[in-house]
Amino acid sequence: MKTLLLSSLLVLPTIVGCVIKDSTGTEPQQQETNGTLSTYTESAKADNQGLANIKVEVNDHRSFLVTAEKGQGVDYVSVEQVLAPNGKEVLNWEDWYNGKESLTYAFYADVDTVLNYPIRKDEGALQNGTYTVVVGAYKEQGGGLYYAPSGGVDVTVHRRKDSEPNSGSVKAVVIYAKGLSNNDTVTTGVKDAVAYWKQIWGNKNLELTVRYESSDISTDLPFPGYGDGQSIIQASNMADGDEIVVIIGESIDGDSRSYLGVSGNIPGTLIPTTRSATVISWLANAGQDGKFSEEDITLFGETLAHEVGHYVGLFHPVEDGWGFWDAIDDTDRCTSRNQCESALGSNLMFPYPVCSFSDCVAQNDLTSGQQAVMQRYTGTK
Amino acid sequence: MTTLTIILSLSAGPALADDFTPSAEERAVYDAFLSRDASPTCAEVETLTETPVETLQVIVREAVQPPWVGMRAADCLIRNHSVEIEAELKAWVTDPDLLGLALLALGTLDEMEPTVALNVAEAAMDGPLKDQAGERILKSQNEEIRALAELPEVLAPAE
Repeated sequence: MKTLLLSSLLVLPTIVGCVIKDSTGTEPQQQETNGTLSTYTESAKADNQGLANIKVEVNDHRSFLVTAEKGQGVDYVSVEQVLAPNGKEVLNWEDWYNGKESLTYAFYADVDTVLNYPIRKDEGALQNGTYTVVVGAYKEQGGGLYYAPSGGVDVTVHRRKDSEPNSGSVKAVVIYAKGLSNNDTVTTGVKDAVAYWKQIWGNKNLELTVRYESSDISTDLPFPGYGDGQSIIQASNMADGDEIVVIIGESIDGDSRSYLGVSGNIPGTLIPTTRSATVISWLANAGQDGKFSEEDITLFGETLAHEVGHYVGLFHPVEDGWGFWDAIDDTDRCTSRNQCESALGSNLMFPYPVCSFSDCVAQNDLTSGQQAVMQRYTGTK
Repeated sequence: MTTLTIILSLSAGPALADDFTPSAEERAVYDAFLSRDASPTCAEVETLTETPVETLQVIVREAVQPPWVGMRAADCLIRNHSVEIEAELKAWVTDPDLLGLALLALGTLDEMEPTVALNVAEAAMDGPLKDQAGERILKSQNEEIRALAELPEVLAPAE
């Protein structure tokens, strides 16, 4: 993902200590509650070190999702630290940034940053009280990133209450780019693939509800966060509350890398931003004949489930190269292609399907630890 | 029991097509295109074979699953080897059974060598995929290519 490339620009001139200073953020505004999901926004200001302390009040909530966007005088933001109500540090970017395991992209600087907490079973349940999410605000200078004292950070906090943490439901809206909602090949293929996606997630206690919309968005979709971000914002404005946005187009970024699908972030936000969608090319998923065979539908359904799996917080259990893994303790720490294909080849989040030229092994498995991440995503009801 | 079944099916692996066995280079290029997320660049993939055009052509022809592998191979042929595969490009854009390749080629006309792109667009406009071709040809940055799909101006009747 380009997020990682961009994050390599991050040069922190000082090591951030654990002492938290008060930021000069404003009081929360525009509070909304939609069933078990409550949302508020605030305009925060970084302190003289370039750090903004975002306060999240927890009152019997299961999880929270903080979206911080660059504001005035700021080019990039990232999450640096999370403190529990008792003041104990529960997350620090330095523990993960150069590590071999991926937990969240929130630690990597970009135009916005998204943190869901807790992420895994390992973090335990939220404690009642006030969590502090420390967001670094940076300016780009000479190819490096430097703290932006007094920089602006626009914050949206979603909090979810949930009485049944071992199951959940996710809502998605599939938005067709211009003209595709009138293309029977595309709409039938997408609906059949969505049915398989529902089955994959449903087998793991995650119910999926999908509705469909048409739009006039260009069929050449932007890579989320790059190119024409307005079309992703336009699509995201069609979402209702906690729906995850999936845009179906013909190509992505002019087919420059033949993308099948790209998730906006890991995890993704629930507010309209230039990265608030998963974009999918129907054409790459249909193949040379431009039609969907039964096997194509299976793979397309897996691709939808895989890409939106990223959006709700899942990384690949192992990266191609066999030296980087997710941070979930029940996904295998394999170290070679053969070993990884054997141990994880049927896992939905494996980086590629295990195939011959003519067919592929089904990839529809998720571990208990992966399911726990999906169930803790704040967009999951 | 379920775990055992999965392990057995994985070790057996998916069956190869009876009449096709890929070479080591073809398999390496195929594997490089498998990722569900970002694919390596064409330049990176082409280092895996001494005969990139031939290898990519085999992938386009023989890779049935997953569907994106053949499309990624076709994309590299379009971007880097349009002159060598002009005849193939014309065949793609005029064959309804190769609609996916046709739409890919017509959506990336500006990535081809300009003369090839013009010839391919002309072939498409003369073929059975004219309607789909016209929409995509109109998005070309090349005025000469775009003109192939533009409606002729209607002259005002003489007074």
